[in-house]
Amino acid sequence: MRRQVIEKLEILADAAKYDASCASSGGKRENSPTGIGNSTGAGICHSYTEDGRCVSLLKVLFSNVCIYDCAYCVSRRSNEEVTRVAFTVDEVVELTMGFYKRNYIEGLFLSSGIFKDADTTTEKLVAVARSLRQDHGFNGYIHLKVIPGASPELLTEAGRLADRLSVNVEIPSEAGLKQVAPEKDYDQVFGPMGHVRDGITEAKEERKKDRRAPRFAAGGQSTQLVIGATPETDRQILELSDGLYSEQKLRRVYYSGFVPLGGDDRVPDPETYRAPLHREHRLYQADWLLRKYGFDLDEVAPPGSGNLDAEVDPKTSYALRFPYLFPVDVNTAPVEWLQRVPGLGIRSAKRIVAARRRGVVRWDDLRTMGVVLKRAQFFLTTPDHRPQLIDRDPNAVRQRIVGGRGDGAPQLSLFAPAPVRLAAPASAPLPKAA
Amino acid sequence: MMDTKRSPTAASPPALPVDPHLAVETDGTLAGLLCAYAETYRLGVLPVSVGLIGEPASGALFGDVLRVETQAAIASRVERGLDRLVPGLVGRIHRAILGERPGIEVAALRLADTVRAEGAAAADDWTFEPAREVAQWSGRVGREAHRMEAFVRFERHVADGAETWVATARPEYHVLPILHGHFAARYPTLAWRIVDVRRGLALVHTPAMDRAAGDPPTRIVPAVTLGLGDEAPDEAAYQRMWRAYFQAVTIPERRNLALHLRHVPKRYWPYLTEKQPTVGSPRFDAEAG
Ligand code: SF4
Repeated sequence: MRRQVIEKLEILADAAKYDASCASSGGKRENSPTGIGNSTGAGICHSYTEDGRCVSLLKVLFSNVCIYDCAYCVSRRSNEEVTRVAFTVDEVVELTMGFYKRNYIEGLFLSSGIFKDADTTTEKLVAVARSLRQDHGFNGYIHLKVIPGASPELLTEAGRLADRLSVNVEIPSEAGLKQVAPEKDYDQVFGPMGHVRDGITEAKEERKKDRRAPRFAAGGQSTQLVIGATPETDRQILELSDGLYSEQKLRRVYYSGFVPLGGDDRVPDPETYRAPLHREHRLYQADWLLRKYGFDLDEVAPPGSGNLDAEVDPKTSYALRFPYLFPVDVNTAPVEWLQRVPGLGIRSAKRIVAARRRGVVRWDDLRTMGVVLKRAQFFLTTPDHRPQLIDRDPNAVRQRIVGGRGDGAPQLSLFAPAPVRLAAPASAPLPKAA
Repeated sequence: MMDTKRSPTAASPPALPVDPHLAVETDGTLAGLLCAYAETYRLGVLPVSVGLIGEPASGALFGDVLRVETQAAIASRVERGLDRLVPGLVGRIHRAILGERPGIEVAALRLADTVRAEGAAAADDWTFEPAREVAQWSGRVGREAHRMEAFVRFERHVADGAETWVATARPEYHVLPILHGHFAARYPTLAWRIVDVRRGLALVHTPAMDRAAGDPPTRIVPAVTLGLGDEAPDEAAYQRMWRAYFQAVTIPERRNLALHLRHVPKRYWPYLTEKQPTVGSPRFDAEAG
């Protein structure tokens, strides 16, 4: 039996590995005295793959048998290179429990090829979750992938059992999706997504009235976008993400640089194509600004702007597009403004605010506080540091940052007079925080 | 650094001076340190060093050595007082002293006293050295504890029909005292232990049904006092499956060893199941099974 399980595990983990999401955070499931596991607070990465990605969950397909033929997917019907296998419900349950007790994982992320129809497939995923929760007292993290087209009843049960549900959009435009996944359309994706969203909202309302009301996917809903399989630009992708956050109330959008598998000419050819890792990275940075830093879509990626700046991070790119908003005074700027300074994170901004409550913050204090000044030096002032380059020549700032010479003490500006701050033009898109 | 930063609140007496001749000794616990604060506050000075009872203080000769007796009631009174001023401060101090860094206790006392005298803002002011030191060491120890929560690997052992889940680790800092909550909440029904081979100590958990009422769920004991059962029959199979899984989820096109090493530094490898070679070929097993 072990032989079969280990071989299935190899195949079904391999097929699931391209799904970027591995987060196990946001769960609110506390353990009971007789149960096993919990998923409160931040998730834990129990290991990292050799390509540097977090391993937090046992991430497998239930089966790689699929009736669909999505060009970007290794499990597509027309791919004759893979061995088709399926776990049993008990096998997945045993693996999850065995791995969890050994502290290998935070829980299970279960997805599947569509082996008959959406409901038959979803029923298996739900059966695994049900057995874990009810037969084994498992309170660890469960993330179920919703199969497009699954019925509302099954989704409701899935939401009760799981900490997170996701429906993958995969391709960032419907036209693109049609090209590479002929059986799919956006209705199949956004139907269940809306149902899950409403389930989450309702459960939250109910729990406000009655603390014992059942939870519903308390870790929220997420999705994944594949980058590079189809021709959408970063601006188009972020536009979609922005809408998913505001309208579908998603907790996270994951970006997965397409890794071509070969054998399907609807998607780029592995011979000539390189996985767009740099784009993936910039998209994550931009997404972070949208979710955590209060940036607007247009500030991060202006309309019609195509792809994000490859040379500098999105926050630096923003600052260089709006040079008249900088430099920012470390001793007076609101914390939301400090966070907009390239190179300053939320933590550095808080540290600055804490220190200036007790006195004037000077250049050396910033260093003492562990603030990384490599990029920030061009965009902030202290009484003894008054950079002017950003006013005079934003392009020179860009060059110094790109050239890696954005390092070291502020000699150039140390003795320069304080710049006269001009009010920004009335039409300028001021940061909302101001 | 600057005098402008010291603005005592009207009601509190100003921060205490450090007496260069006063050394104190405690039992090395957080409670001991909190009692030391109560004691030295009463004297109106802070000590220049904090040592362990029974261990000769290194270096200079001190005028006085004050031996502090740990009293739970006093410790919890100080703890409540500090936590009211800055929520989480006592936890921060606890993590910092587990870094076993000489001098960190004195920094903690100065921080606690400054917060008392000048208000909560001092606790997060990194330009104030004791606040920075405590925060940095607390961060280091907290990160190591978080890594242990991630990287500890339990193996199933059986002795006389009872199972025990055993993990071995070599943490940089003395993190066992802050790991118990996490693992006890996660595995309340399992008998587990985490052995710190660097310090020869083990954190041992006894499930509720096996312990007398009133006994704590976990305790820290010398590792040599613990017997070992035999590895359970299914243990090797699970380890092998975990390694197979770990191999399968790597995307070869994206292999990035530098990044991998940043996340999983080599010093953790000897204790990670996924980094152990599989002895014997799975093929062979496959045919036999
Ligand atoms: S439906 Fe899912 S498993 Fe099937 S081919 Fe499409 S992406 Fe792959």
